[in-house]
Amino acid sequence: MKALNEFLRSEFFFHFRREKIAVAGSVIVVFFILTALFGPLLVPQNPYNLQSLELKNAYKPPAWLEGGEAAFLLGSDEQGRDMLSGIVYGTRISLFLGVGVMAASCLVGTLVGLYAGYAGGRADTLLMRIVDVQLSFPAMLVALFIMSAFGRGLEKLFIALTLVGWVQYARTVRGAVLAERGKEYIDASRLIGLSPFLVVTRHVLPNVTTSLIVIATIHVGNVILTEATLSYLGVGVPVTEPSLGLLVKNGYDVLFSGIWWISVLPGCFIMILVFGINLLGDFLRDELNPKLK
Amino acid sequence: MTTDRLNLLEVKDLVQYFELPLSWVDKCLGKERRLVHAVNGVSFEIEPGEVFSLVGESGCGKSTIARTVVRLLAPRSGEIVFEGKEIGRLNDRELRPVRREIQMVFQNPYASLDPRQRVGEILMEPLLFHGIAESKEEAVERVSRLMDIIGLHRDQADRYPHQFSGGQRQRVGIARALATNPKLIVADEPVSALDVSIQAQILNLMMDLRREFHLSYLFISHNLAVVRHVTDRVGIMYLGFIVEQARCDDIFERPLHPYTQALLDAAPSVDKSRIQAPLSGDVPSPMILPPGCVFASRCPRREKLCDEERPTLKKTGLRQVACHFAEC
Amino acid sequence: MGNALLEIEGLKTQFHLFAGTVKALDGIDLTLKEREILGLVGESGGGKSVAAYSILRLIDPPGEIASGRVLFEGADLLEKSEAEMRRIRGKDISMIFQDPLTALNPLHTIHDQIDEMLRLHTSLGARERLEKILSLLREVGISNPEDRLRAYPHQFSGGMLQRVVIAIALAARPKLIIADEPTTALDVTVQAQILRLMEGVVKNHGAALILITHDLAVVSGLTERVAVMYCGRIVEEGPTDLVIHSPLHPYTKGLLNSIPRMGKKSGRLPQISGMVPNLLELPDGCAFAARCPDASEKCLRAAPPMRPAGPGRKTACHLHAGGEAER
Repeated sequence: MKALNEFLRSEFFFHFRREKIAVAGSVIVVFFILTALFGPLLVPQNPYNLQSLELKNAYKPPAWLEGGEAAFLLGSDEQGRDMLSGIVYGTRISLFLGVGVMAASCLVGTLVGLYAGYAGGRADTLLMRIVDVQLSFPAMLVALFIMSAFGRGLEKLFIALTLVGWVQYARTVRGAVLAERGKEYIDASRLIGLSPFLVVTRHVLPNVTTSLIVIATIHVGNVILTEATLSYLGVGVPVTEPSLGLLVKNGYDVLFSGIWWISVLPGCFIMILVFGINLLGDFLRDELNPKLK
Repeated sequence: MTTDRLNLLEVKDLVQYFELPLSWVDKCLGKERRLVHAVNGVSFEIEPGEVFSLVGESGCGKSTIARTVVRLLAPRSGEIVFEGKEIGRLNDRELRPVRREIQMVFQNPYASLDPRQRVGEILMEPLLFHGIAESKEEAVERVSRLMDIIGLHRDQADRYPHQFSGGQRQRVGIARALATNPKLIVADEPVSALDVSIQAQILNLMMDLRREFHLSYLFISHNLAVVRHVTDRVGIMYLGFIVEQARCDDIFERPLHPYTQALLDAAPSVDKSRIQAPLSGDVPSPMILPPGCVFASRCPRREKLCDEERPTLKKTGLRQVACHFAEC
Repeated sequence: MGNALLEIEGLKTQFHLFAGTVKALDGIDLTLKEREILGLVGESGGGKSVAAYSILRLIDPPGEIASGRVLFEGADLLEKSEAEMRRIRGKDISMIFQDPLTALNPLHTIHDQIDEMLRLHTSLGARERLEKILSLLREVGISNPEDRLRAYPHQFSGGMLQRVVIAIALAARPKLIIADEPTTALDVTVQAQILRLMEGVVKNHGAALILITHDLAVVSGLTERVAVMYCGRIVEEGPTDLVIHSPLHPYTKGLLNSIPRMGKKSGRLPQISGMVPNLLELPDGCAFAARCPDASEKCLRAAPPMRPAGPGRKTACHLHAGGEAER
């Protein structure tokens, strides 16, 4: 409670309240997080439970259109799956995957970046060349290759996206470490006699977290988009557990025969979610970047 | 110097140079490595309780000496003898006990404190690391005492550095240096980033501490007037050489080297009615050292000999000067 | 001396920050005659740089010029349009900054940077401009300017760069030059050269100069008049010699005393106790009262206004309320 109070009175929160865009972004993000967490308790169907689907409910339009039913608020797809339920469960997968991949990439990338930046020398050169090589391929292409090679699956998607995601953390952290280690407070901690490990964990790491927060936010949005694209291309999540991207694909075949909601509605959700995340990310970048102040 | 008194610090023929990084393209093209000659064979001693100052303009190597003496850098050649023990070649682990004895006060109070640590934590870290305080409670007690000594309120230990003014931060920096009860404090331009009225406070504090804890200082500064008030002996540096070394009063009252003279003349002062500019041009690059006297290119007393032969350091008693035309 | 070139009246500049409103300039009055060299001295937080930026209307949000007038040749700069201000900056009033390396564009040659100024603010043709550039560079003491025209800023030393910056500042023959800590980033022997140079060229060009510095010693060798600032106000103003040798305001006295002198060695430096108050919580009375050795109860209650104190001198101190300097 005390921490919350402190936060509400902090300079960060003061600036946050003044930035309407940041408030809008976080309202969107919070809405989606709540949807992902509690949505499944509220929606009428479990779309993964194939027994609950009935083909007679297929291609129902959204409730506000002619022929729509209140039970299928956002319509249904070709298997009679309720779109609202599908979208809520899909959001859950997209968001969890986004956050999970971000966390894993962040962990790996930070460790590599800290080590390369502080140790310097050959280790640094080697690690950064690996990063350079990987960055010279489009992330999407690498992920596509991995997924095609190993097949669909949530855990494979997680690994593939982490493999392409960690590099940007490594590079950012290394840059931040190089900037910090030239500062006198790092010299001072060396003069105490601290070992390099202690210097890095006690003094360098806490001071590079702000740059991490910024790219981590944007990264979540990117992961969600990449995942959607991969699933749309048919190499992402399995058909039995549709994410937002797979829902878009499912409706693609009938998109031009007047049954637009199956593709368009999940697409809108992806767009709004990523948009909200990016608004928040932009605010954090401006706010936490000391150079722009 | 009396011989029966052991010097606290002896620096002998210290050499320090840095290699400018070459890109691998340049390496492939066979470009030669370029060296910055920061320190070119510097020797001086500091007695227990003494304040020795190194004075010079940017690029003269004074800060490099400071960073080498505290062993943030290893010397390329030469010796650093502290309390009779050579510390220039020790590794990190072997240095640990030495680090307690030699501490540093930094130039920029806005960069020398970890922005994510509270002041109390900053001061506690060396205490706990070196086992000076055996328990957390003892450490807290010692931090409070340090806060008293440097003139900050005990309660302020809970605050972060950004909540303090520049002068207060420099006090915290001094307290951190003091925490391990060192014998030697290397102060690299400790007041040059501070306002004039705060400079006087910090200099006075440092001199009070010297008396109270019998400290020695290696004091680095570009400002001769500041040095005059705190120091016992002075070394004047130019392009990595000490060109003159003497007791403080001698430097000010009877400067021998033309560069010392120029520094004294050029310093603006409220006691002077006009600004004098005794030297023309800038300090030359420390990448290519001239074969003769390094100061020759700007020296008003330059002669042919100066360009051909580098003057040796002439010593008489406590005075040393490196100039063909100056006698001690 | 000539007419008033610049008259500042009741200028207030404020910054609206999270923690509150900072009164960076709290009503300053200042007059500068043509061709006059004025020193503006104070420590950080005094408001001297904000004053310079306010004159040029270079205050960005969250800062704002709250009130006052800045009369330049009789016309109020605060009422000019932004387009008119752009013509005035550089042409009539130019500025020299503390760090020459950041003041110049690293991607353009020295020639191009001076030339830009000439093209913007003069009607000279290409050949005349080149002539002018060469003569400017010669004037600021750069030998063989023909060889240096195509050089980039990183190829110059700090002292040489500051000479280039001065050349740019002089290019359009401004009537007023504002130099904000022009020698703080330079070495002592180079600082002396640059100060001598500035004195010379400013006189040659018939421009007026406001020299902003924290260093009273710099002011003493160069300026005719000096104004001392503390916490957004001018606390003392007068001929430089008099202010330095017989300061009236306790802050000026304290500042002068705390400068280490070459001449004499004393055990302890006299110091001003305490520190500059938080600009967010300035006291009602005199801002210096808490640190002032002579403060009385009156000082804590009411802020003293600027009053004449002897020939050509003014100070804002209750101790000099009589109208003349007292011992």
